[in-house]
Amino acid sequence: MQLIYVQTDRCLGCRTCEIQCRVEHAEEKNLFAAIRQIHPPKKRLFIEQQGKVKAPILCHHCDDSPCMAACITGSLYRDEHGIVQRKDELCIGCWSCIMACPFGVVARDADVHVAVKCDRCPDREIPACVASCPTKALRLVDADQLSKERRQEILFRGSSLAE
Amino acid sequence: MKCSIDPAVTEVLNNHKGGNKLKTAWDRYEAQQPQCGFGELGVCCRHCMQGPCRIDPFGEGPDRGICGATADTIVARGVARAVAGGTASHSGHALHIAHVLKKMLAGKTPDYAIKDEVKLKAVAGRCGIAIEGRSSKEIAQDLVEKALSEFGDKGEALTWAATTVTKARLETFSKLGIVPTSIDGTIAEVMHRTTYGVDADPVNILLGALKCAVADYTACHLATDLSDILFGTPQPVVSKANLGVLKEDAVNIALHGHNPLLSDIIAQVASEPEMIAEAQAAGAAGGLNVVGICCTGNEIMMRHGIPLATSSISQEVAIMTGAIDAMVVDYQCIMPAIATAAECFHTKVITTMPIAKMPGAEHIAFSDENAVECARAILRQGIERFKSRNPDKVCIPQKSSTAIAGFSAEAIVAALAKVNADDPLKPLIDNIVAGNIRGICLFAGCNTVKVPQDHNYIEMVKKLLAENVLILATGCASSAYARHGFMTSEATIRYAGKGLAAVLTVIGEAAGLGGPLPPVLHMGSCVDNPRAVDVAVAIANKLGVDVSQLPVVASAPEAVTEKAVAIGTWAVAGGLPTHLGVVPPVLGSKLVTEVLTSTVKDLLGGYFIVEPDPAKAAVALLTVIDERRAGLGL
Amino acid sequence: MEYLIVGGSIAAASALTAIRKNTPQAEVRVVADEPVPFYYRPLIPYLLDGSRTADEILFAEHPPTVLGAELLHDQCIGVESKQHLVRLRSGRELRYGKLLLAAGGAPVMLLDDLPGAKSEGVFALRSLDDAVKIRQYLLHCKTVAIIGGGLVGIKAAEALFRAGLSVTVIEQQPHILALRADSFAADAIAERLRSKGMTLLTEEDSEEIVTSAGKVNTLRLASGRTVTADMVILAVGVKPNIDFLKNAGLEIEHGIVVNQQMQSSVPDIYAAGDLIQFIDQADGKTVVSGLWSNAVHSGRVAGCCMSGGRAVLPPLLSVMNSTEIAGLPLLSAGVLDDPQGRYTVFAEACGNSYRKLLFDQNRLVGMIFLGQTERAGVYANLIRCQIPLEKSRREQLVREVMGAIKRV
Repeated sequence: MQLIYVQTDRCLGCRTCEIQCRVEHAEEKNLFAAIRQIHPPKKRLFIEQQGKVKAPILCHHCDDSPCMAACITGSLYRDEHGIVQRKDELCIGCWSCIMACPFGVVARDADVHVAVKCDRCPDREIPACVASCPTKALRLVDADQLSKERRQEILFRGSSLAE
Repeated sequence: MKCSIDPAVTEVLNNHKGGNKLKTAWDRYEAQQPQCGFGELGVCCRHCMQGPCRIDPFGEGPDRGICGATADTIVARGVARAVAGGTASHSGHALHIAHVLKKMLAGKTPDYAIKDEVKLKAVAGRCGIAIEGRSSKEIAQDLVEKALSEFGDKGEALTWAATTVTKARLETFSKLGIVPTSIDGTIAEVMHRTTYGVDADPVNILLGALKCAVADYTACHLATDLSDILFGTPQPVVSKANLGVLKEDAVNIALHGHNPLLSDIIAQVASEPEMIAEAQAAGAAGGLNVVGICCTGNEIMMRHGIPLATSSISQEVAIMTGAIDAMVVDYQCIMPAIATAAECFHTKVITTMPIAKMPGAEHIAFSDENAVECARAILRQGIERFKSRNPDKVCIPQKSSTAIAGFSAEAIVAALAKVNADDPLKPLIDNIVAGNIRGICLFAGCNTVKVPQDHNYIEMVKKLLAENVLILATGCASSAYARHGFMTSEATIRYAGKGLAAVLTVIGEAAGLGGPLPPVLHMGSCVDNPRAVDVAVAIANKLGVDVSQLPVVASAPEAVTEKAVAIGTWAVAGGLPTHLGVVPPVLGSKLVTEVLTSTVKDLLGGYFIVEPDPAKAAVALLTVIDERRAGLGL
Repeated sequence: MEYLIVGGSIAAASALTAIRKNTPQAEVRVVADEPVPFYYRPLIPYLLDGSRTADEILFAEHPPTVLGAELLHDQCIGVESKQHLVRLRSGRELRYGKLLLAAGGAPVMLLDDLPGAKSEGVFALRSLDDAVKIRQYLLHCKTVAIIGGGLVGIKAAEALFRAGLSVTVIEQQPHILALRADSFAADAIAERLRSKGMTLLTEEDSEEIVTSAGKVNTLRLASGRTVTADMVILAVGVKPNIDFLKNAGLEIEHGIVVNQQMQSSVPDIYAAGDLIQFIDQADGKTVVSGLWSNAVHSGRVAGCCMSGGRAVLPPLLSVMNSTEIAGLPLLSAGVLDDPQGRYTVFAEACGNSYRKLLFDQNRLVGMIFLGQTERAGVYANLIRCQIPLEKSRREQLVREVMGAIKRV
C-alpha cells in the first residue's frame, strides 16, 4: 500500500496543500471557481504547528480505523486499495467519526451536513497535496520502499562517520 | 501544454541543439505548478515584519491580518503597489530620455540630435511653450525643463496628463481627486499609503491606484513624445518579423529591452560600412544583422525598418536558435534566464544599464555621452563572438512574415489626410458612423506562459476583424500580429469584414500603399500606448463627446507585467472598457473585484472585463462596442 | 470447531468478521432474534419521519452471507455451559465449540410500573420493527409524548416533530441528555428545541397512560399535569440483555464480567457489545454502555481471540458520544460534570458554541464540545488513553481549545 510520508523538516507551512486539497474537491477543479462556490469545498488535511515544527496532519487510513469503527451508518468503508472512503449519501452528520479520529483529520462540512475526510484524490494518480507541495515535504511512497530508504540512510550515515 | 502557436518558436523549441538541460519559461512555469493560491487571489501581505499574513479565501481561517487588514484592504494594496511598480518603470524610461535630451542641449551628448522639429513644435505648443520666432534649441530647452518638472513636485496638474485628454475627462479626474501633480511623487504616495498602518480603506486605496495610473500615462506619453523628437516620429515602414529574420551567414545582434536611447544608436551604427566590413572580415559574408526583441524590437522596427525576431516570452528561444552572437539588453522584461540559456551556446549576453545587471552576462556600461563608441564596442563583441558560433548548433526556422509598422498617430492622420486633406479625421468618423468601422480595439500587453503564446491575440483578432473592428496594437501585441502576418494588405483581404476592408482599401490606396492598409495598425512599443489615446481623444474632441462614449475598447489578453497593470488601469481611467485575458490577483476580495469590474464604470466609464476565454472575450468586447454605438445613437 | 454467535447486530458482525480472518472454513452460526437482516441500529429514529427507509439502513453487505455463516432467526433462551449447548425459543438446541454472547441491550419498558403501558399506541424504540410500527401508527396521530429525554428520546422527538406531530418529552432528571451533556449544554439544546416548538418537561414523572376506546389518549404526570398524546414512546433506557443467562453460571455484575480477551468466567463462552461490563477509563468505574464503537471493538477482540488470534480490548469510555441535535453538534466524552469538585474544570461559551474540559490532576478526563467539532477526536483520545500531560501541555491544550471558540 502507498503511504503519504511527511518530512516535517521540509514543511514551510505555506498551506499550498490545503488550498489544492480544497480545489481538488471543488465542483470545478479551479481555485477561482472554488472560492465562489455557494458552499466552498472543505480541506481534508491540516497544517498544524507546535513550536517551530510545522507539518500537514492527514489521514493515515489506519489499519484499525477508529473512524470506521465509530461510523453508525456504514458511510465509511475501506476500498480495494486500502483507503478509508466515505459514501456521502449514507452520512447523517452525527460526527462520530470526528469524535473517534485521534488525529483530528475528519472535518465537518456544516453546509452540506456531511463529514469529510481524505479520499486520496480518486481522480488523480498523485494526490493533490503531494503533487502541490513546493518543498516536497509530502511524498507518496511505498511502505517497503520507504523502509529501504531509511536503511540506506543509516548505512550512508555510518559510512560517512567511518570516513 | 502547448507552449506557443508561433510556428517559428515551436520549431526551435522542438529542434534546438541546446541539450536536454536547457529549460525555458514554459518548463519553469510547469515546475511552479500549482502556484500559491493565496498569491493567485492576492490575499497575502508582506508589508510588515509581523507578517507574512494571509486571509483564508474559504472563510474558515483568519479573515484579517495581524494589523487587522481585511482581504479587501490587502488586495487593494497589492493592486496599488503593482500600478506603482509599473509607473516607476515608465517614469524611469521617460526620465532617462529627458535627461539625455537635456544633456544634448547642453552639448554633452553629441551623438543625439533633435530629429523631428515638427513634433518638437507640436508637443511644445500643446504644453503652452512659445514657439513663434524661437529656435528649436530654445523651444527644446523650455520643453525639457517642463518635462523634468513633471517628475518632481509640480504643485499643479501634470502637463502631459492635462493637455492630452479631453476636457471632460480632466474634470472627471479632478472630481475624483486623481489628478497627479508629480509622477515620482505619486509613486511614492502609493508606497506610503500602502505601507504598514496608513490607508486601510480599499476604495480609497484604489483611487490612489487610479491616480498613480494617470501618472503612468503621463510618463508614457512624455517618453513617446521625447523619443519622437530625438529619433523621429514613426512612419509606415515595411519590415519582417519572426525568427526567420536571423541570418546564418551574418553576425546576428539582438537588441532587447525598451528604451531607444541605446537601440536607436546601435541601429544607426550597424549600418556603417566599417562595421559591416569588420563583420565580413570575421567571416560573416552577410555582414551585420541587427534584429529586435520585445519593445526594443518595436522601436527600431518602426523607426529603421529593422526586423523583429521575437517577443518577450520567447527571448530565450531566440538564443536557442544558436545563431545570435550577442544579445544586448537595457531594461524591463529581460528574463535572467537568458544568461543561463546563453551558456548552452556561444551567445554573449551584454547588459548595458547600471540598474539592470545579471549574473552570467557581460556588462558594458552604456554612456550616453559617448553613445556611438559604446555602440561600436558592443557590436564588436558580437562580431568577436560570431567566430565561436558552432554551425552544428544553429537552428534558424525559415519562417517570418512581412509587417508594415510605424503607425504613429501622426502617420495615421497623414494617411487619412490623403483621403481628405482639409479634415483628415472625417473619413474615419464617417465610416464609424456608417458602421463600416464598427469600433476600435487597442491590443496591448505581453505574452504569458499561462496561455500558448499568441493564442488569445490571434483568436480574438480574427473574430473582431471579421466583425469590422479596426485593430490598433502596441508592445508584444504588435509583435504577435507582426509575426503572424496580420500587418499586411493581404491580411485585410483575408480577415477584415467587408465594411472594414473597403475603408482600409480606400485609405491604403490614397496613401500610395498600392493596396489596403493592414487591418492591425502597429502603433509602437508598450510605452507608446498613449499614441492610441491621442487618436481616440482626437475623435472624441471632433465629435464633442468624451472617450468613455466612443466605441473604443482595449484588451491585454496575455498580460504579464506591473507595467501592463498600470497601463490597463489608466486605460480604465481614460474611459476604455479593458479586457484582461489572465486573471489578476484580486479575486480574493469581492469588493475590489466588484469595484474594478463594475463600480468604476459609473465613475469613469472604463472598467475591467476579466475573461480568459478569447472567444467569449471577443463577444464581450463586441457587446460593449455595440452598447456604446447605441449610446451615440449609431 | 463450531462457533456460535448469539446476537444480530454490530458486535456479532464484528466478531464474525474477525473469526473469518482466522478461520475461513470453520462452521459459524449466528442466532439473531430480530427477523430482519443486519442493520444500523442507531439509525432507527430516522425511519420515523421517513428520512430513511428500512432498506436504506441495512448493512450494504449482509455479514452472514458474505462471510459464510448460517443465520437462524430465533431467540436464545438459555445456555447450558457444561453441555456446550444453547436452547432456543423454537425448542431447538444448538451445540457450540465456542460461544459468543452478543445479544445487546433491551429497552427498559416500565411495563410493571406504569399503568396503561400495554395500551394500543404505546411503543418502545429499540428495534427496526419498533420503528416501522411507530411509522405506521403515527399516520393517525397528531400528538406524541416521549417518556425519556435521553439521546434516543430526543432523536425520536426531532424525527416525529419533523413528521408534523406535536411533541412533548418527559424527563425525570433536571435536564435532558443527562448522560451526554452537562446542564449548560443540555439547557442550550433544550432552549433551541423549545424555540422550534417542542415541549420539554423536566423533573416530571409519568404516572399513568390514560386511554380512550382502548387507545392512548392522555399521559398523566405525577405533578398532576396532563399531556395530550395519541401515542406514547418509551425511551427510558437500555439494560444489558442478560436475563436468559440466569442459569448459565456466568459471573455477572452490571453486565457480564469478561477479561481483556472478552472471555467470560465460563470456559469457551465469550461476550461482547452492550451486555459486558468494563472499566471506564475516565473515572475507573465499572460500567456497561451501549456505545456502537465499543461493540465494534469488543466484538472484534472476542472474535479474534475465540478463533485463535491475539487481541486485547482497547481502553474504552462509557461516554464517547457524538450527535447533532437541533442543528448543533454535541460531542462529549468521559466525565461531563463535577458536582463534588474533584476535577479542574475549564468551560467557555460564545453564542451557541460551548466547550468544557475536565482534568483529574495531569490527565484529561472529560470534554464537552457543543456547536463546534474541530479536533474533538484528538482530545477524546487523550481521555480514552489516559495520556499524562505535563503542565505546559495542559495549559496549551486549554488555550487551543478555548481559543478556537467561535460564535455559531
